[in-house]
Amino acid sequence: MTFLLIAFLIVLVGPLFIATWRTSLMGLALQGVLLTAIYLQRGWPVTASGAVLLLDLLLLRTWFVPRYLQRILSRQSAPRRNDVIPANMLSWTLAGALVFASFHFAGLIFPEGGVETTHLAAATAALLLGFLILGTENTPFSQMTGALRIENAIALFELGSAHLLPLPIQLGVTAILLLTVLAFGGFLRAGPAGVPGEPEP
Amino acid sequence: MMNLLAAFFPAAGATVAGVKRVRPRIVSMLLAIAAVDAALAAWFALGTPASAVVVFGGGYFVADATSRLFLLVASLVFLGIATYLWTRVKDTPALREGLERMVGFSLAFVSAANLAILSHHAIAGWIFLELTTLAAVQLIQYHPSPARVGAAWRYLLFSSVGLGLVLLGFACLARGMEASGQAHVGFFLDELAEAARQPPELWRRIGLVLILLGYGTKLGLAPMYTWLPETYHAAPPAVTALLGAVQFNVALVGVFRIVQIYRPTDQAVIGPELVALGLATMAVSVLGVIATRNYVKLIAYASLNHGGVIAIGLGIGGIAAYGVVLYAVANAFIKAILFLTAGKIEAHYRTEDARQVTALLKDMPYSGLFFMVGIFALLGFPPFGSFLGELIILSGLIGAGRFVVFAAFCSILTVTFIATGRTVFPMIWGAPGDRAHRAGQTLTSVLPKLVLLLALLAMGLYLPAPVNALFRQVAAGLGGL
Repeated sequence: MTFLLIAFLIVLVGPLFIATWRTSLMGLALQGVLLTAIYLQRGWPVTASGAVLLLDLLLLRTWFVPRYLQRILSRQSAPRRNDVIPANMLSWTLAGALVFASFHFAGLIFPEGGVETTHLAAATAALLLGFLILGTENTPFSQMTGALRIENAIALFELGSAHLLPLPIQLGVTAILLLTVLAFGGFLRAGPAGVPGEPEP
Repeated sequence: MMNLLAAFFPAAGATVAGVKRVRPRIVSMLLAIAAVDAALAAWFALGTPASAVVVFGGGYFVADATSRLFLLVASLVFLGIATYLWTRVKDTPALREGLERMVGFSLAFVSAANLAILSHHAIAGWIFLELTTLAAVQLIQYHPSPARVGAAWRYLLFSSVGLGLVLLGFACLARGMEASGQAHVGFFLDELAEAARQPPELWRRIGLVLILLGYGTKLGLAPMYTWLPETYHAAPPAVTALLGAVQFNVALVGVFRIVQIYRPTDQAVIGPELVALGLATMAVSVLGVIATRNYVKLIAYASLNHGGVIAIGLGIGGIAAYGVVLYAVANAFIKAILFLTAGKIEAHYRTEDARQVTALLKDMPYSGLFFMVGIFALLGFPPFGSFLGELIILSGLIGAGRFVVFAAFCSILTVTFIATGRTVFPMIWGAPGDRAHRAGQTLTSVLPKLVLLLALLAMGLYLPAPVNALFRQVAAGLGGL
């Protein structure tokens, strides 16, 4: 479990330094793989709700989301480079500080340490790095990446709890993520002219 | 069963909106559905005792005072919006182009809003609120321009992040329930109420902070408010009215549910957070009101102010709770009247610049009158419901000994009044310009706004007993005296 969480942290931080959109999407896909692996640590789901959650993590987050966005960008022949955060020492230091602050926060909540501390630290780091991306980038793709990282952070945090949502609610939550990603795709398809990076005067 | 019918009725319309044979009569269909929906909601709200609580739909929906009152408000506003669209299309047939898309998404929006209001499961309410957001994204981009697409994108982004925080907050509440040793973790409102009886602990506090912050995004509360003025300005007027008067109240019902459940045990978290968010929002809104000369943006910034007032009243509780309910309902009617009237004014003058619009009362007597009265209500003048609501919230602040908040509240309201008057009063009473020409307006086209205006007046002067009983019941649930 700790190994998976550390891998999740590496997948979170790595794409911040490699400024291509393919790396960002690969990062999202790997986050999905690791979320699935963390979920399966409990064993195979025995309820319908658990099965829907597995499909949410494995099919939607790992496969569909990155693949769908990748196809749109490929068709547009989008330039290879895409900064997730500004490529400078200040941003990288800030990202490092946020990861450090996440561990500090988790240490305060669970002073006894252990897997729970690492789990909370990884979820908090994912959330804060998602906000860092949203706060520093204004291109639609980078902002989408930030929002999807926040979605994954929430999923990781929820995996720390033993309870499952009732089936209709789990279906609803998964459907909302799917519809949101489809809406994101609509804006990405509109291209840079369709979604101005800065508000109009 | 009738309760679910009221919620699902618009959804049935949404599914047939794209049918080819329906298209020529699409606006009439919208109007008919809105009228039936309003009649069902009125029957639903006033036909049962205010204190009655009925759980239905497998436990996922509830008919209590809060859901009945806000279902009525949403359906009345929607009827006003449908009539506005009907008259606009009648006056300008060119607007019929692509209208089935707007009608379909409007009906889907209202259906999801109704279901969110009726939800008895906190996360089900969240799902339906998200659905209103996704429908609204399509509505904002109706006849897309770069400004509209940009506004829709920022609206979607802020909403996704804000509602993500709400979901994270619910996950924290679940952790709290597990930490306090509860055998079952659930989000039905009665299960949450049961869990709230346990002593407060850290996860619950974190959860409440995140939920209020997230729902605050949908209410346009600082710090995540920047999407609101831009979206309200860029979207078509009917869509802005849907967002400001319907979706705002759907999100508010989400906040009401949380406050109703957690006020007795967690006022130390809820109170200060809501008061801080409310004051910060009022402060940023007044800056916007001072800076803008665009009358649509001005109303949008004033809407921020209203969100702030409601947050402060909710944070204080006690007698302010009744004022909050009165103010929230009045606020829905004011926003509907003002945004729809602003749409008519913009269509007539072809500008949103307040300096280009003069002698409104002479050029557009009905719209001028509605704009004037709407602005008076917006500024909290007597005898409207907003005045009474604001007065009760102010007395709540005094009663709670929150004198610093009271002083800040009054100062901001005074500056807002002056800044709004400086921009808007010349529009209404200014000398006629060179391009002025009188617009023909029929009484039928203003009838729904007249009904909303009468409701606004009734809230300040005399509320019929069954309606007042609903208001009191909702306020009592919020910790009102």
